[in-house]
Amino acid sequence: MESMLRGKFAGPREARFEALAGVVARPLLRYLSRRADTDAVDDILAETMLVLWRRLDDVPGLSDDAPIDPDEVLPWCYGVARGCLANAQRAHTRRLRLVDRLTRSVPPAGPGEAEHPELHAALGALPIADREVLLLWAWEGLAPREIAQVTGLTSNAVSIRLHRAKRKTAALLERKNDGQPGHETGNGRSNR
Amino acid sequence: MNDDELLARLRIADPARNHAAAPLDLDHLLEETMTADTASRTTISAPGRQRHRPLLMAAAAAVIVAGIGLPWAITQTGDGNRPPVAAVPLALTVQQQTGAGGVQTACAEVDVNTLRQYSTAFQGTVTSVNGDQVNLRVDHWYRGGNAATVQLSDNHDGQPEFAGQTYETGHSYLIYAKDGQIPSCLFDAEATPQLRSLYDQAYTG
Repeated sequence: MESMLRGKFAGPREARFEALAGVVARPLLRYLSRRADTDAVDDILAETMLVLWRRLDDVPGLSDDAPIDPDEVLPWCYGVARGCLANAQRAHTRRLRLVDRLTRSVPPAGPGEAEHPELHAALGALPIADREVLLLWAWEGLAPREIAQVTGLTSNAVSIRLHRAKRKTAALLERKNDGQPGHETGNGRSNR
Repeated sequence: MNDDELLARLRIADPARNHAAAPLDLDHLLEETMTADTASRTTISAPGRQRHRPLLMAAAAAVIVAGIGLPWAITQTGDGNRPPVAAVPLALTVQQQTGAGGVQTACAEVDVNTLRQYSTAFQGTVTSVNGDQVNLRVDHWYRGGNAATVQLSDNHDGQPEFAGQTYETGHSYLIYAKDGQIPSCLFDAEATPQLRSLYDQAYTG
């Protein structure tokens, strides 16, 4: 398979894409597996790679000769994965709504939610954009400037959201640790 | 709880850390990507054939403005004379996705060949956004229309975002459509000089 691949796609553009994929595919797989159902991850990754292949000339920090710096290319590639994920989720939501109308089913938990209910309850209490910024910081290890590149927000807006999200999540988790049972996530509102 | 403690707490709950790293067959992924693209490009250049895009929903596209559907198709030839402007707004909806192949192709970066497959293309400025509906004033028709205004509606979703693009009043966008539907994944439709030159290449000359 390997030799066939090399023979079939031997061109400078192909080589450049291969080098890029070698750097970004695993981080993108992790990014998606944190946010999408296991059975959807492969499809969304394939779609993301297809967009990257077609937009290869637009990837910032990618030149023919210099080695690829993951920090240069990754935020942009996360941005592409983010768009593909959003698109897949919209399609999924439409299907769920139809199913829901028929069965009145409860939506399934997201990846990892069952194992850390208190943390996910705290994350669930955050506005969506704040949660996204917080998780890009914690799970992808991105700096505010890079998060801005992924989300299209300004660095300033990212810093503000990140600060707010950290403070609120920490306060909610501390409250849980103090022995309050249950999942009343609304309690954290006084903290803003 | 300081930043480091919070970070540690969040990382413990990282789904990608807790579940054994999902296997990744990079060579397979590369081959799949480049083959899928080669296949779709070949299909584009073959006249008379459609890509896997579920565009044959034409029959369902009752959306096309009653009465002015035909004139659009004809006015395109008039180069020097501007076509007469229709008072009735052109109504477009967002194409609904069906099937995995559709998702893949619809999300790919737009290029000249893709644009040429679409029978409707224009630059418009958003005049108002009302829930599921975006109204645009047409600044320039590239292909297939003479309406002065266009009404985009997304009756599948109910989100203030259409086809991956958020629309803001006063901003200009480049939009392409076919059979009364814009692709379900129209990223980066904001009218930048780059996108405009792509439209110029696709629809002129």
